[in-house]
Amino acid sequence: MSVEFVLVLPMVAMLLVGVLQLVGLARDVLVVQDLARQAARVAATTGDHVEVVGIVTGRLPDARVSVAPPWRASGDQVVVTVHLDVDLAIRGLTVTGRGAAMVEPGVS
Amino acid sequence: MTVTLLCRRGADEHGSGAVAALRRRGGDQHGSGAVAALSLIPVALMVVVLAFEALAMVAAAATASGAADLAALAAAGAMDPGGSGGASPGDAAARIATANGATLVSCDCDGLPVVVVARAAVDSPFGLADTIVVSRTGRATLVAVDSPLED
Repeated sequence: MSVEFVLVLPMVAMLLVGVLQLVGLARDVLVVQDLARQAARVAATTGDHVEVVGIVTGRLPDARVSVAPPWRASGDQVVVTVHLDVDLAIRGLTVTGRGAAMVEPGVS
Repeated sequence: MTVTLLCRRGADEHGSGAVAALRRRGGDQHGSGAVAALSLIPVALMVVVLAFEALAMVAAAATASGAADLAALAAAGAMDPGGSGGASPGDAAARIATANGATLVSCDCDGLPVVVVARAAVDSPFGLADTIVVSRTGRATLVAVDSPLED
């Protein structure tokens, strides 16, 4: 029994590490998605680019944020895209989140 | 090592008593660990597959929820005469829901508060949850800056 257990143990350990990394990756995906939508919501209510980026970088300092269009007016559709590089055991991944909102009246 | 093998061979050839029976019984259990280990593999793979599917469903729910909220806000903003860029509340909600990766199911845009239902399909990595569609409701209203507490 112990010999078989020793043979299987590395596989079980790898599986466990994989599941833990998967959970971490899922968490990153959800956080990036959520922050992108929060930032889009802020972008819909203000023309301040720094405030929009700060919503994301305040929680994920390493994230890259793009706001399009940079200059917006009431009724425009503003899209905030967030990229986050994630290091996994096997390889690195870039998680992307995207949020879109309509710019509210009075914003310029 | 040689001595042990000789002794076992001797027991197999000559032992017909209780000791030989115990040894044979012990020999029958050899390999049971391998069977248990092999049976663990499909269980572990199933756990991984189900974990991926569950995460895809959670991601779809988050997509539908965010899209419904932002679409409702867009529809409410479009009810302001100067705020929609000419789009109707329903069109604004549909546009924003689509831009957020979801589909507009319904928009109760006749009055405030606006109630929007958006749905998102599960992007299933193994195809087990492809037919599942997650719907979420978003509500929004307009609040005047000068009288924010008006109900």
